[in-house]
Amino acid sequence: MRELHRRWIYLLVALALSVPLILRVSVPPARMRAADRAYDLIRDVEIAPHQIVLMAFDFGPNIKAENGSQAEVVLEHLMRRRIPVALFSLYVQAEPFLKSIPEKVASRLMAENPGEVWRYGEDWVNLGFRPGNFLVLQSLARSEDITAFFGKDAFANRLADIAAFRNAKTVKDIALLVEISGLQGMLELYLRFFRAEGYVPKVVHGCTSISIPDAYIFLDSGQLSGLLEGIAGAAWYSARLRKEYPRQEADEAQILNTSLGVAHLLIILLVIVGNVVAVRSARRGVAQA
Amino acid sequence: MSWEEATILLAGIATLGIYSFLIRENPFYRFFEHLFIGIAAGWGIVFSFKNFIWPDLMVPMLGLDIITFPDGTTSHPYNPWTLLYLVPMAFGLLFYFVYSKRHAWVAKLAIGFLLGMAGGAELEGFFNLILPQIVGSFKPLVVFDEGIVDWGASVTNWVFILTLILVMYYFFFTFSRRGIYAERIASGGRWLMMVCFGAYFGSTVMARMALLVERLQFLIAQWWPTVTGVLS
Amino acid sequence: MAVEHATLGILVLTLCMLLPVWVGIRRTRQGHQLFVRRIKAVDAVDEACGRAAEMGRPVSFSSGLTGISPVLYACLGVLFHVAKKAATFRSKLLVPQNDAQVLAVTEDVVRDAYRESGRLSSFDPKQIQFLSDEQFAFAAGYMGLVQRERIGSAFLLGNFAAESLMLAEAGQQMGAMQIAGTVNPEQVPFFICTCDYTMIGEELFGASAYLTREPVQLGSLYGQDRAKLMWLVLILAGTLVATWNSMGEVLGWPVIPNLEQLIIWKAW
Repeated sequence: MRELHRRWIYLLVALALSVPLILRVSVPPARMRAADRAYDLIRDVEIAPHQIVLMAFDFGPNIKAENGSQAEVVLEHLMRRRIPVALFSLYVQAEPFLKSIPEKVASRLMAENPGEVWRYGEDWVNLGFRPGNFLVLQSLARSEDITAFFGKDAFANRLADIAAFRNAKTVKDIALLVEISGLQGMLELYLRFFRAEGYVPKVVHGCTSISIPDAYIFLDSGQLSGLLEGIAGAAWYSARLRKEYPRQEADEAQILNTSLGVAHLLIILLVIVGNVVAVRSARRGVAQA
Repeated sequence: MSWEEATILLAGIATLGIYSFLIRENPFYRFFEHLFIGIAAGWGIVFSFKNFIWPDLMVPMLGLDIITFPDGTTSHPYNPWTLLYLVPMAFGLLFYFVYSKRHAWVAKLAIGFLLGMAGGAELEGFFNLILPQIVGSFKPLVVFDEGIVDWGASVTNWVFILTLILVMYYFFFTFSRRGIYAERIASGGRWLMMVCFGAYFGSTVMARMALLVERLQFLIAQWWPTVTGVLS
Repeated sequence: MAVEHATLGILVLTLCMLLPVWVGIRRTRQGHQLFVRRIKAVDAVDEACGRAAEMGRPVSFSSGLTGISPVLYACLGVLFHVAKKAATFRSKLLVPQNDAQVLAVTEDVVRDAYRESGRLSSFDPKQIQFLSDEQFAFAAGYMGLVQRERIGSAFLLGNFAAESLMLAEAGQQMGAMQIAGTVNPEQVPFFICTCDYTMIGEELFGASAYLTREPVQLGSLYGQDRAKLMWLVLILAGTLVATWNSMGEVLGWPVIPNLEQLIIWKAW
């Protein structure tokens, strides 16, 4: 085992991940309680005519597997409920996803529900990437007219002309914030600055696996109302969505979750075998000495 | 071969090039490493100019956002106050003085401004972020559920508060640790952190796998069908 | 009307945190010798520099994704020490960079270190190399650099994210002695696995203050410890009040007002 070259381990991991992807098999995901809280919140949230939900996609292509899946399932839920969503990002590399993910979800929903239409401007609006980091959030939170603050959408249309957005006046008209990011410190930026006097939004967060322990701190303190933990969280959210809105299509989040599950099992096995071998050789060394 | 197919083919080759590092450092990897760095730098400059400097600074300053209608009227008058944008722009350019040996101090004005601004914002942000957590840590050590002691919740709260004390004790640097008990308390804090790091390790391995699975998904679902399609 | 963070309670807490820092800096400047606990990784800093010199290989120092922030100043304190050692031992020092603003400050620090060692003529600005401000492009560049230059010792101090293991793995594959330290707890386990010594969280600030003996760093460390003690006492008091009230509900004891009301005045 000690001599087992690391390249063989790389190969084994690649195979463990690839086989479920090639065969497109999925097993039911484990229940994730924090994702349940997110689901229940979005299922029950009531939106007044002047209110919107703000979704922040703060992730790049490198963490698309986790954050992209989360963004898709939450956005699908909101769109199914016909809740208007404003999408924006503080992270420049997220810009393509602000366009591609809602379009993908909308076309899937329209294919599934012939006769129904999900339209840009009515069901969602793309505010694009906004440079300025925390200053954007601070200014947005203090703005008396957020339509004027954002001015135009990502396609240079005036927001005042866009149905989904034109009634929102202040940050208090944002009924819910969904922040999806794996970037270090990004969630903290929102928790620090996205609030106004007498108003703290309910926040649902989608994090990468690496930031789960950090995100739990905020869940425990009540700063987060729901959490999607990596692909596992997205897969469980997706499973609940399928239960409420049955559909036939193969589910990407669940396939990815299965693929990761197989790889995790392999790693646990390697850790156990590696430790047993290490303890044995240590004992043998002591005996020889 | 369409433009999209060519993009997918190139992306797949680049992915394999970067992964070839797993075998050993090699010229194939080196080529894509430099390509990656170069593209990231070039893209950053173009993106900043196209999405920020041009539309948000130059266009209003040059009045390029004013539309002139056929009857000679304009969408809105030119706003000369936008020229004030030049002031913060010039101030930001002071950063470049770091490259001057004689006038490097000038850059410190810009750096100082940045630090001061970040410090001021931090003061607001710190309490918004930390206070709910501090208050959240005020947990009763004896929890009752309908008049009966809830042992599960009580023990959880004891573990929480003991962990908090031991770990905080470990991070005191300017108090000397005299006596064996002081060392043992600190060592307890360290052990508890190791348990936490184990959890972090597990979650980070999961994250690493997620990075890899996305690339494998791309190679399997998009790249390989494109390769076979082009070859056939 | 005041916003929620601007309350009297917060003002008192802010002053309670700032006052010890001010006192600490003042005392250090007056020449008081403040005690700082020695951290194991600090002993290893000189060892790592010496080892690279013995092997005739370069030393690399990366502050990862750290921007201009207090963490950077802690990193620069250690870098100053490492650069002085490298200059004294005539080792090649490589400082790959991820942030253009940090690059400028870093260059100054390394130049000062070479000057203080009396080897300013050996300083080459090309030692401080900007790789990329894109996280994984930076990681790819660092990995390539480490392998090509065959580094003998590597220092990874500062803010790190998902690229941490890639950086540390590259050094480990080269058999380099590695010392890491990060304030990002989720990256600590990877450094523990792949590096010879790891500074956990605030140990980085402790190490920098210990190595530089610089008044602001020492005084800040002194002040931070007192501020932490204040928070600890506050949490313990809050816990006792919560316990009293929890038991009081069942046993009919009088209810004590919760501490949170004292701190923030209003609920968020």
